[in-house]
Amino acid sequence: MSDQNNKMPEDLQVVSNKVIELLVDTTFKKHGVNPQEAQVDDETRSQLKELVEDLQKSVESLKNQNNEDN
Amino acid sequence: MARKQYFASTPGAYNNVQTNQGARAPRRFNALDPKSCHPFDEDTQQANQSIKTTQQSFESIVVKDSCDVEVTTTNTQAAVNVQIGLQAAIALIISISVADSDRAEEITQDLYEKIKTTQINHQQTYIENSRGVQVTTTDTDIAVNAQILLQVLLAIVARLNIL
Repeated sequence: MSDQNNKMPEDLQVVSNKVIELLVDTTFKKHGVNPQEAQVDDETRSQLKELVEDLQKSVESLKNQNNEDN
Repeated sequence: MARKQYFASTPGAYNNVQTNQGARAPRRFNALDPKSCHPFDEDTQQANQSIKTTQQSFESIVVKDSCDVEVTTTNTQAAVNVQIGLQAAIALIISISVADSDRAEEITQDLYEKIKTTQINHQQTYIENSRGVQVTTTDTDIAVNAQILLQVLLAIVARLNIL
C-alpha cells in the first residue's frame, strides 16, 4: 500500500491546517478569550512545551510505524 | 382481542401510557404515525456532547491446516493511547490558559464537538492449507485521528504563546 493512505497529501494538509486554525480562532473569539492574555508561569510553560513535544514525537512514530509496515 | 394479547406479550417495546386506572394497554410504537414517539427517542436526545473521536478495529485471522505461517499485525492500542494523550493535553492547556473553568470546559467541548472523527476498520484473513505464508496487516488510517488532534493542539499552543 502507498504512503498516501496514512499520510495526508500535501495540499490537503494545508487546507486541513487552515480549517483547524480557523476553528480554534473562531472558538476563542466566540467565548471572548484573548489568548495573549493567558497567565502562564515559566515553569508551567516549559512543562507544557515538553508535553507537546512528546506528543508530537508519539504521533510521528505512529506515522512512521505505519509507513514501515507498508 | 387477539391484538391486545399481542401487545401484552412484549411490553418493553411500547410507550407506557399510564392512565388513572392504570388498566389501559400500553400503546405500541407506530412508525407511520408522526405523533408516535419511539421508545429510544428520549435517550438519544440526552446524548451528551462528549469527545466523539471513535476508533475501532476488528481483526480476525484464521489459520487452518497450515504450517510456517507468520502473522504480523499493528498494535492499534498504541494509536488510541496517543489520541487520549492529545485530548487530555488539549483540555489541560485550555484549562490552564482560561481562568474561568466553566468557560474553559465550554471551549474544550466546542472544539471536540467539531472534530468528530469515526474510524472503523474491519479486517479478515483466512489462511487454509498453506505453507510458508507471511501475512502483515496494517490499519492504514490509524494515524490520521492523532494527526488531526495534534494539529489542533499545536494551533492552540501557538495562540496561547506557550512555546
